[in-house]
Amino acid sequence: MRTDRRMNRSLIPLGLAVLAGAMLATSATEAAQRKVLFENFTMAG
Amino acid sequence: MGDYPDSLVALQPHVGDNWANTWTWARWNFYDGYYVPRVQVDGLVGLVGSGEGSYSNMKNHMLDRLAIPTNVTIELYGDLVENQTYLITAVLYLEEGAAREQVRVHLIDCLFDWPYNTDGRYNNGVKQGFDLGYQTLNPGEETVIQQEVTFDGESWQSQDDIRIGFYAHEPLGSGPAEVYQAEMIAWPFPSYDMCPGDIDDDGVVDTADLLALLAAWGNTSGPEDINGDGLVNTADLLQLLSEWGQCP
Repeated sequence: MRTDRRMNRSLIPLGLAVLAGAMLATSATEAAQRKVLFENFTMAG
Repeated sequence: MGDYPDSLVALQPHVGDNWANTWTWARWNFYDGYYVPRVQVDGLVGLVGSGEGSYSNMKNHMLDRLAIPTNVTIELYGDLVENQTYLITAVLYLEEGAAREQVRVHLIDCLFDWPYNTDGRYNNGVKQGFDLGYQTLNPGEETVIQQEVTFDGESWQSQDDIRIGFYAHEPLGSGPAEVYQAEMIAWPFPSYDMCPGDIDDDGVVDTADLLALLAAWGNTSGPEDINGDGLVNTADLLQLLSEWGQCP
């Protein structure tokens, strides 16, 4: 059981790091959100 | 496609009719100079005719493109120079860590519901366009591109319909050429000037600016027209007062 607790504790920083990484990745994606260009070439009749 | 106002920049270049212009012809020839009507999606896919250009088909192509990340952002601003002329400022940013990138950029002056809009098809007709050529973007840095645009009388009569579009695509001389990013703003434009109330440009909004504004009351242009709507009036006074003090 003691070993398990130590393992759990050691997993906390790892979990935080993963969470931080995910947040950074999300913010980076938001910073460069694409807008799609539609060029609607038309010849009026 | 009004269902996706934050994901779509749509413009309508006319060719072969009374509303075509130098830029629309050039842009059409950039692709193949043959098929019309045709919707070109992000410079890559040409959807020809009403079958390929059906709503569901266009929507699927848009969603496909939205799912692909980009590393370029564009912000647009517009500030009144005089009469019907605005200085349009585009701020391009290439994400840090990206490779140095060359792009080709275009600025487009559009008018919503032009040349006419009896059935909702004629949105953002292209009044004039500016091929601003090849620009180099450096990772982690802003690149500022400016162009003066004079709106014609027809546009000035429908100011709320004025749109400015801008996009950056692969540095190629003919299509297909992937569009990295596009943006569009409507009149009245956000100002590039971080401190428009500072009329005399001394770094502080104070009594001198207030007096300058009052002296120009009723004028239709000039730095005293802080919000750039073509009239120095109460709206400008209120904006000046809201910025009172040191500029950011």
